[in-house]
Amino acid sequence: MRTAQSVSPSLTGSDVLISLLGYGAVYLIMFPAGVALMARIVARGPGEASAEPVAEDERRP
Amino acid sequence: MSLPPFDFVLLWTAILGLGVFFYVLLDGFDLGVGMLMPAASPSEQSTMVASIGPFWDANETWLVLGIGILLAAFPIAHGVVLGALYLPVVAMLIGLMLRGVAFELRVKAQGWHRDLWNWLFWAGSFIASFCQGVMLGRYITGFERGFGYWAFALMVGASLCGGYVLLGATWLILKTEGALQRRARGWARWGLLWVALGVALVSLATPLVSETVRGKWFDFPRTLWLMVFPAATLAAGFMVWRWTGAAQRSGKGQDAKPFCAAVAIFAIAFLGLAYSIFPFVVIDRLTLWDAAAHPTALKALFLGAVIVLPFIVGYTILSYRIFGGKAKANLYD
Repeated sequence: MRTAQSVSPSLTGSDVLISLLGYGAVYLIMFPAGVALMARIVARGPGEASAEPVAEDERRP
Repeated sequence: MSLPPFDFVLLWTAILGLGVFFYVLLDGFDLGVGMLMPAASPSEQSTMVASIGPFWDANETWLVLGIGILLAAFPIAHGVVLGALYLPVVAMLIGLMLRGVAFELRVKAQGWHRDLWNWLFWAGSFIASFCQGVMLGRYITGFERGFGYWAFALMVGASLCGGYVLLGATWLILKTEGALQRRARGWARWGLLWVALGVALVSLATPLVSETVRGKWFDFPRTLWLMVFPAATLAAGFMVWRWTGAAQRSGKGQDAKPFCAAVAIFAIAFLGLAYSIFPFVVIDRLTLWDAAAHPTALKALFLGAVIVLPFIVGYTILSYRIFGGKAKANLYD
């Protein structure tokens, strides 16, 4: 079976375009946000980070 | 004496049905809590997030399980249903992604960043819930095209949001105390009104759209005992209303009642829907037996289910027991 033969009959080109743009938009939000967060934590350095009261995991009931 | 051959299609139908039902119930309450976020103050928001924190991602296991069963046991239905629902499914997944990220990042953010993640958490919860309702509306009308059918699906989408708000608010009654609990009672009543609209809409529309469904419900004298469904729904709705009154005492045993009644409404609606559609998986087009995989495949899959399902049920029960009791705001921040 070739790829072209396995395409869903109900799927249209605009469906694919919309979903691709949608996923693209979400990853464009998520990935920079994650990188920025990690960069900020790294920039703050380990000294201050350990000054935080209690790590989240230890506070779980 | 030999036993009649065991019908694995029926067994897989039951497993699929239970999987979908537990998904709706469990992710329903945490999506509902997400949709209620803008109605609460910042400190209440922390408590609300803490009340679903230990559960929400495990709740989504049931969605993966349901879709997985659909693919493995009913491959033809998987193709037809998910093909027809392509865009609502994509939108739901985008909503769930936004929500999942916002859940993790909102606690790390401060100031307007946190407001932004809170807003994304709300938006993701709302998009996912609304799309699930639209999917339900499209599914029960057999994916018919036309303005009326789409308008119907959009209204079911709005009603399911109301239903999840009901589950979320009654969950908060169970998991919180004080001022937030009192506010949650008001939210629950508000959700209940949407549920009433949704249940009435679906109950009236399905027999009108499908002759098969009409024949099943309006067939005297069977209709008489089928009236148990609307009667039980009304009774459960009445109980939710009664147990969310301003004068309602709080305390052990009292706080769980509204949630149980809300679960009962969902259970009755689900059974009614299952009765309407059975033995079809795509109404009037495809029966469960037409859509099922080869009997040998179903048998082999069952071996997998025997191993996996007890684990899922087990850890679900375990986590709800460990994280029982009232939620505190400082779980995450």
